[in-house]
Amino acid sequence: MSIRERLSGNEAIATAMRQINPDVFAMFPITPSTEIPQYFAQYVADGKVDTEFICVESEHSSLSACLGAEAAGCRAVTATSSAGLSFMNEVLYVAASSRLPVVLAVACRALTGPININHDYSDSMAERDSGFIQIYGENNQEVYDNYLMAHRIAEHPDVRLPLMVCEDGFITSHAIENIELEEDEAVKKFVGEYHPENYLLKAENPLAVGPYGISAYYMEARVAQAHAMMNAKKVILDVAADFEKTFGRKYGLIEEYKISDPSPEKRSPRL
Amino acid sequence: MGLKAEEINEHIAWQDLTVGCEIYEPGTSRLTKTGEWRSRTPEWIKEKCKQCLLCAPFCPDASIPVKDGKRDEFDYEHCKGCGICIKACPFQAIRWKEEN
Repeated sequence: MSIRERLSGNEAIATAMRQINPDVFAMFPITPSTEIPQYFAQYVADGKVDTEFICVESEHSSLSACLGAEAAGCRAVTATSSAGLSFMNEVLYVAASSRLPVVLAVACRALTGPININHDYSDSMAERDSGFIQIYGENNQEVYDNYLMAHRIAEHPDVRLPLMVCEDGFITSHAIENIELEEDEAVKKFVGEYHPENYLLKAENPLAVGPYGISAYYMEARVAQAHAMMNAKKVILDVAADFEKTFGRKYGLIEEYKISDPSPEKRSPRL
Repeated sequence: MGLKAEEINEHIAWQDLTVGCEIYEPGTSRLTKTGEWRSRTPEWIKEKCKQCLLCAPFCPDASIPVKDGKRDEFDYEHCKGCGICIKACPFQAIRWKEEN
């Protein structure tokens, strides 16, 4: 049974994280995503999760710590916004090219100029080509549901790409809305445990992650990564179909709005 | 499990690459001749060498092979010419090779 609640987008994400109980959360605060690690820290303090909660010194470090954890065989998460996401830029590409399926919650916020903490997509859109899958939620329910699907999409063997669950800073991250949560056990069963085939802590199988790739290998690796992104299209639909079967809410690749009848009289007037 | 490191070469196509270029075995640096990067070359003067073995653990590239308690000739396929062994040797038994 779904549980009727009223939560902000940040609390919805933190709740999904608590239910998933990831192995590692490397955190660094930035408005408006700060509440996500803030809520999660309470879950750690209350013993509701057994996640290794690491307070690092920057966003560059938080994602780097997640990469190390993922390479070691852990499920790792973090959250950020705006300049924090820009500061992660270098590591985003490392995560994607090393094919480490970190899940990153982004409360989208304007980049500086003039300085502003409110919402636009200048942070996440700048990372559109970083190799991260990006899923955008329109309201708190979608953000929660997207987060429940995120790990399964990112960790799928045909994909193995990092993923951003994007919400609108303040508009979604802080506004409290009615929401249907799923039961902890049902979420755990839907998301499943993370069992990568190869990982650094697998003693019987020594592994090197992120080796140097000269020109002959670089483009081949980039093409392989592009194909993983193309594979994600099917995996997203498969996971969404299972989500609908399990929890009853339906998602596709895009949400359509008045695109089935393009007759001129029904089109919005030109600005 | 995927490809062995010795099967990976510059003609590989993207379909055959390991995911994220991962390498699933240890010790594969033996296959990569990093000695080609060297611009200066250390030279071992056997007559001066007391076999104290101070040089070998200092070598960052494990390019001074030790067998039966004695060092052997440099592994020039992997020595990058950093010269640390020259500094480490108390008997001046390693020096820069004269280059032409």
